[in-house]
Amino acid sequence: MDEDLVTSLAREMVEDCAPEELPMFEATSEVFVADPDRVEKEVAKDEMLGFGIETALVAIAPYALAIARHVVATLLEQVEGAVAEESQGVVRERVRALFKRFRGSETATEDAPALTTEQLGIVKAAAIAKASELGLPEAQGRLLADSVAGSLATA
Amino acid sequence: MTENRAAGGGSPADGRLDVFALPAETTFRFILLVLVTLAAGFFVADWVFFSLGGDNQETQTTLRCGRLVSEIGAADGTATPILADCTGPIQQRSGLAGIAGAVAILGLGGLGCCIAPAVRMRRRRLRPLRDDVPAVAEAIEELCGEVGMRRCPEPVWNPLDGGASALAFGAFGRHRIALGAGLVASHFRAPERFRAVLTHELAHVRNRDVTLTYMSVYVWWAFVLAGVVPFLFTLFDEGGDTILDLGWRLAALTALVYLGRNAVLRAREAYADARAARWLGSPQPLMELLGRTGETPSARRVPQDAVRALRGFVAVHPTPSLRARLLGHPDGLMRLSPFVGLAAGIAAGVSFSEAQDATTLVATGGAESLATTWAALATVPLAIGVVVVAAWRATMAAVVMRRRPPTGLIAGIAVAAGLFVGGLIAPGEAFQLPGESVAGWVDVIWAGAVGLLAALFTGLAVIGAEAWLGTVRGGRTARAALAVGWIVTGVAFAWLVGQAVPLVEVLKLSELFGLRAVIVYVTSKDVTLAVLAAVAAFPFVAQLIRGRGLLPWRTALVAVAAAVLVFLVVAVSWRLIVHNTVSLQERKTNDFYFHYQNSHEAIAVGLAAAAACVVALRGGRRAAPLGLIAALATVGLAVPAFLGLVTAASCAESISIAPPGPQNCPTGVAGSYFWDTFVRWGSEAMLLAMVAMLAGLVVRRLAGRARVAPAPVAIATPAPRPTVAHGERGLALPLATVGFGIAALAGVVAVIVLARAAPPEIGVPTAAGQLSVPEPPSGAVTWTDKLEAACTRAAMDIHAAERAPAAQVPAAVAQQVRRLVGELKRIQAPAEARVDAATFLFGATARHLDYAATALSLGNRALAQRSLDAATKSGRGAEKYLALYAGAQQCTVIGF
Repeated sequence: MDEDLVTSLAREMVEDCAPEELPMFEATSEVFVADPDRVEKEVAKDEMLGFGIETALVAIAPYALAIARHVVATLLEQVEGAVAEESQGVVRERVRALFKRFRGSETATEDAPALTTEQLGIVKAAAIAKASELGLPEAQGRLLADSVAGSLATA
Repeated sequence: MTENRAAGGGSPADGRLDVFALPAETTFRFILLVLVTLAAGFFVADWVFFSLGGDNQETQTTLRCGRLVSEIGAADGTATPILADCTGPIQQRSGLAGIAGAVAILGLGGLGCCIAPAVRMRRRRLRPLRDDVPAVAEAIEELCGEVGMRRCPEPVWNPLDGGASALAFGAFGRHRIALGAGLVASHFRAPERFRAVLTHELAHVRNRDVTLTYMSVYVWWAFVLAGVVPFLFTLFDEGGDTILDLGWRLAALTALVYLGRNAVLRAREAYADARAARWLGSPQPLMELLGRTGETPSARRVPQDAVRALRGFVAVHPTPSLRARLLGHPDGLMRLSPFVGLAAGIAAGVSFSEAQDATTLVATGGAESLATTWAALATVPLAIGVVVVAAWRATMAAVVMRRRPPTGLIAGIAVAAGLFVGGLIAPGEAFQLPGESVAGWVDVIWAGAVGLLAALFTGLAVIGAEAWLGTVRGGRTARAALAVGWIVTGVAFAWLVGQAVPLVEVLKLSELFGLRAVIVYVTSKDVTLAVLAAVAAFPFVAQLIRGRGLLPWRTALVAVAAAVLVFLVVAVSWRLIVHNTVSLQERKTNDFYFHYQNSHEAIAVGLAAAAACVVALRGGRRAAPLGLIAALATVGLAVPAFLGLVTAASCAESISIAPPGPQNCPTGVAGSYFWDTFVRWGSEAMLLAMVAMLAGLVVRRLAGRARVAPAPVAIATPAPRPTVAHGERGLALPLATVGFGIAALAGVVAVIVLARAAPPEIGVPTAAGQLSVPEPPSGAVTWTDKLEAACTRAAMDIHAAERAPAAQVPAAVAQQVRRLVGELKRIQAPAEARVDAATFLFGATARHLDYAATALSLGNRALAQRSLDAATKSGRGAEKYLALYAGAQQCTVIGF
């Protein structure tokens, strides 16, 4: 897993959807990379000495990281399937090249691949599904999914 | 942000209420929850002690001691102390094992409380916020400074927890606030919301909620894991009835502690909201979070459906609508609730029952008669504290809000009802002897008496609250006055209950002596008069400081003078009538003397109570303390008048009862007799005066002629205390951890060591200078051995108790009977208590037996025997005694 890609994608999503969370992003991404399966949302609203009221207010950053990771994993699977005989490094570069952000970099290949509309839809659906799995409200899940879609290059 | 008084922070000047001016009663409630858990722990530990080997130790020791007494040929008079000394250590060992178990549970609970924060940090993957998002940490630090907390709780968070939760935790000065990442983000996204939630959590720390909450939780878990689990294993060889009796009681205790704890937590949430609203300067930010924006909450409750209502009983937070209502109407935090009194009474009742067992086992020698009193003093004042503090708060709120203050009567009755119920569900009361009823006439009268007493004392506490809050001019003085009021009321009530309970328990087994003997026993104590006088004096002193104009002094003086005059007239007239109509032979009998003296006592006490009633009817309930003082003053004059007549009669034959001789003129009265008479008559007068005043005021109110006493013109609302620093305290947590750890280890080790130890060494020196030591019994201890041991021990214990100081004999005997009853239950003896008569009583009257009981309670055994002799006119001897039977076998007797 390309952790740098995941973190960069997530940061872009946070910049798009919740720029006020940028001051806490570094710490969140550091913890996430060490233990990516621990994104959660405490639902115990009636805890002793807590505030006692559950609100819809959530932090976007951890979900962005989890969704970004899921999206990158999805893309890796798809690219690996298409270029089965290539090395892992090449596969990673191809996946990076799918993102607009990395298209102008030195590591991008000249004939950088792009996603079809159908493929983009699959990626977006995967992002929404992951958001739902994590318990994120639907509206915020769609927002993040749109941000992911916006950061991907299409044919 | 400053200590703004809006929304729960009122000031006298603007008429708003300061809910933090006086302490909250929830601290007492927390302590009671811990105490009831420890009380149950005592029972369980004692049971485990017996199961692990204590039972055999006790049986073997008792048998050996009994055989030792037979070996050395000790006569009955010397055998008693020998056997008592011989078996004392094993009795104490049993009590100490129970206490060690309770200490172990407290230690384990405290240890859990100290360790839990570190465990929570690991389990929830919490990390210091300062390292990750310093801007937010600094904002929290700034907030702490604004609200006056010098040491801020450490903020921690889990970056991957996207929720917006917040939670205060920690122990013994090391506090932390856990934040969800969503809440951290809200600092940037919605700063007002962030501040509102954080101030609520800081308020929990400021209100000292954290340690109390987690101590109550972990002590309960320690009881379950270290007490109930091993206890359950010992039940396998018990009968179904035993398991059922104990099981439902433990279930009831579980429910009591769980629901009680959650009720206290709901109250603490409301207090945290109130303090946060004060810090924020307005309740609006909190109301927005509660979803109540733009509304002015109604003071009326909104009906809820049944499911939501039930869910509310187990929730640790009040409903958002209730929280909003309390924010808008903080006087809701200052009510005197009978349900709170009931719950406190139940917890105290359970604790008192087990504490009584503990003190009875551990106390030796002359201290046995005070065992129940010590148990009452350790437990009952906590329940009284709940209602006294709540009464003070409710009184302050009522005056500021210009409402009628509570009377406190219903809350007091609720506490008494709770004490009664608690005594029934205590684990130690799991068994009933045949014939020992739960709701016999004695129980009904005793419950009524305790209820009435609690109502009266609580009513006087409310009067004291009004008096002192209208007098003091500073917050510290008000809180000191509240503390004194609590101590006075709590100690007085506990003393009276503690003195009466042992006799009432014997009374339930048989009518060995009447209820009157119980009253005489209790009122004969100097301490009884002292505590009753203190209860009257506490509010009275404040009323004097405020100004004598509020009280009906003239009425009081006239009432006292009239009562004393009437008494004198009656006393002299009665003497004259008796002298001229009753034969000398009859006048010289003890029967007549008792009747004559008791009648004068009744007249004096009745007149004193009437004087008090007149004062209260004239001045309203606020004049009740003056009424009590008037009753005491009446008796203070009636006693010398009565005894003065005795002296006068020694020189004037025309008014003498017994013919005086020239050498007896004048007959002086011993100072001690004067004092004893004053103490008894004074205590009786004050108790009767309370009842009379209450009855008179109730009747007057029902007749629609209640006199409304002028309300205080102004009442000082004590200024809030400066915010105390909380947060990091260097050594408190480490010291607490070590201390609780040592207590836990020591307690567990002590129970096991005591249970597995060999029976204590016994022996007595003989005339030959050697130590006589009997052989231990051969073979395993049988049930018959256990029964023999129990009855042997009880017989000697009761004889030993009869040799206690005269005034303590009834209570000491009662303690031993109680202990025997418990022992018979424990070994499952089919025991039955009944009163046997050696011969048929012909022509005996209840009155003669009553005199005998009275004489016995005063320690005059010779006079008691003569009264019994006089009970028959046919010359037949009469002997009545209480016997305890185990099946057909007579176990022991208590005789006159």
